Amino acid sequence: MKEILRKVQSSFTSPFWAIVMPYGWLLLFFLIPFLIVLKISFSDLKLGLPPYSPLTEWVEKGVLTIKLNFTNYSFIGTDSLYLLTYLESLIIAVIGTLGCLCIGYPMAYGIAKADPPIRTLLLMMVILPFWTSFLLRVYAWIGILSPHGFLNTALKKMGLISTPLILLDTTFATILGIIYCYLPFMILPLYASLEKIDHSLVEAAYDLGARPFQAFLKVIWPLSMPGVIAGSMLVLIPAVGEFVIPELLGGSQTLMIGKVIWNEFFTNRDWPVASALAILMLIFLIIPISIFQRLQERQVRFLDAN
Amino acid sequence: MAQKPKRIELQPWQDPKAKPYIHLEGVSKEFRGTLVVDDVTLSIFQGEFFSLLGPSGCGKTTILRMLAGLEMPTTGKIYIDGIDVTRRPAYDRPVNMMFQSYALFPHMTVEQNVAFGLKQERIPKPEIRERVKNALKLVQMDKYGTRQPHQLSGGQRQRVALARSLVKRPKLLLLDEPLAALDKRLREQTQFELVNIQEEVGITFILVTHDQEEAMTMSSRLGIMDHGRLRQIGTPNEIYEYPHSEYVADFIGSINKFEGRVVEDETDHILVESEEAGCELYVSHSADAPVGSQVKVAIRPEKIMIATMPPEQKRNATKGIVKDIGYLGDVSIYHVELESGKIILATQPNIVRLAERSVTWNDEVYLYWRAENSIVLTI
Repeated sequence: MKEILRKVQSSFTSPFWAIVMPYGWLLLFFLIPFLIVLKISFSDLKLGLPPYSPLTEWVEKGVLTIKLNFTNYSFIGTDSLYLLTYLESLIIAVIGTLGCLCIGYPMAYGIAKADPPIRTLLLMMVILPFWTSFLLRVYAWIGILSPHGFLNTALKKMGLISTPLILLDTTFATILGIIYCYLPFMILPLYASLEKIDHSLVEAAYDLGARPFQAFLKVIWPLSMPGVIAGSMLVLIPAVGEFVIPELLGGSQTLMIGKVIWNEFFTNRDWPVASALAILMLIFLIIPISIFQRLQERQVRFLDAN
Repeated sequence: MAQKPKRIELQPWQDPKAKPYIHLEGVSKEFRGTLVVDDVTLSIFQGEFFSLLGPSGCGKTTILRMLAGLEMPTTGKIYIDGIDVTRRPAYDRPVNMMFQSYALFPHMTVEQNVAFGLKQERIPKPEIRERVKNALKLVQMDKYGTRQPHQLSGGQRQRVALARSLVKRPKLLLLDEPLAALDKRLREQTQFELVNIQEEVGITFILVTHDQEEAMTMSSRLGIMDHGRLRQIGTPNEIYEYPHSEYVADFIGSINKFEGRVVEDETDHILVESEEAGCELYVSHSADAPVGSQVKVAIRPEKIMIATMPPEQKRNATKGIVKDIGYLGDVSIYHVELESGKIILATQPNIVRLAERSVTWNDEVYLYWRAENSIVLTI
């Protein structure tokens, strides 16, 4: 009995399990759902449950037909609305990412330079918003941005404006929401890479005649590149497919692909087209990500070697 | 091979008219209420190789950082070549520093590292290339220009760091424990190379180290530091032979000390009565110590002679029993217990082989030394 227990125990600690666990996770929660969506994207729209036709059918005994329907994809190509939506999603996400970088970089730098006890406190404050619901936090911005919200009331009372500014239901509000929600994802990897930079490198740059801005440009910035790339990826990827923020803050003015997919799925109940849209978004994202990933790997390898 | 330039006897500190090149005037530095550097006044002359020596935490690195402009003194002034640079930032000083960690930029090649400082000065590109090449040649790293720092060994990195700090031709080069990361053999070899390079480029060097051997072999003068204060400044020979204080005497090499009471203090000698030594101690210099006051008389182990027969002299001669012999190859260290119980160290060169040695464990031996070889320590 003891022997069996020991065998079970040792088999769990073997390298085999160390590999199986993450791959199993990816298989179960990424690859299988992805294949299901891929399958639906090649099917026909059908009234009923599920609202799409199966791909495979037994026509007669022993003959299996597979029907791949590409019309969903060609339909997306014919309607320029989808293409524009993809483009707008990407632009909004890129602006949001740059916004996060501009705000997050000085914050991460400040945290990395702070004394250790204060540093922990500041990091806690960055993570703190996660303790309340994401939806609730986005909702709170409606209260701030609406025509009779906090911001307009405050500006009016200060006498800066006479009629309320239209802030809510704009692309601006969507970008603001993205920056606000994704800022921690930018700060944390940036902090991790900035904190690793040996301060004597910066001092060496000063010593060799570099003014603070030059020292930043030539030493700190290139050495923080892994953090910049990681943070940007962590913000850009989910921001492109974002649904909640444009839905709540962007109104009808902002068209983002997440919202369009939602509409196809739930308003039009056109699952095949919605799936095709999702697959295309994935392809659009995978190409730049894999390029960046390779760049980052090279950077990391090279920095680790030091 | 090129003729090695002849070493110039450089002793401007003995010339009262000589103008100091680097001058610290009453410099103090406080970190959060602790005084790290305490009222240091120091003059260093052009072309000197000056070392600051002291245990870790004595403030020597802080002085270096204040000279570099990486730290601002709390009080006091710093002059370089007659110009007050006290409040000037690091990038605006004619000073370069070689960091203890070398601080080579990991994302640049060796050449880019060396060229960094020149690029900041907006020097034309062909000149930069030329100067980088020459600097790398000086440290014998001209074949490694395109390598990344992580592809170099510790000794090679050290050379690149040296080239990078020399290439700007600073008025002053600061070296923060430059050899600490190297192994012993490489360290010894590099010591001499550094001195040669310094003579070749003629730049004033200030070196910080806790390694007394390093400071002794390399410097023209050295300053001994303790708790933020400069205890003594002098040539390696002065520091070793004539330490002013017990602290300095203890810090450099090993030394025997006898407590005693002053019996006579004349202009040419001082006589000290010491029960610990078991004899009268006659020192051939005055010490400004009043008769009857307690002093310490110090003598270096290699200045003590060992004999099996009683010497002719009565003063500066005592006897004891050999308790231990440390064999170091070139010399042996004898631990001799005096009648007072005091253990005295005496080193003797191993002129004869170990087996032929006349003195051995538990032998009674006589120890004696010459009057001019001992020193009176009043502080």
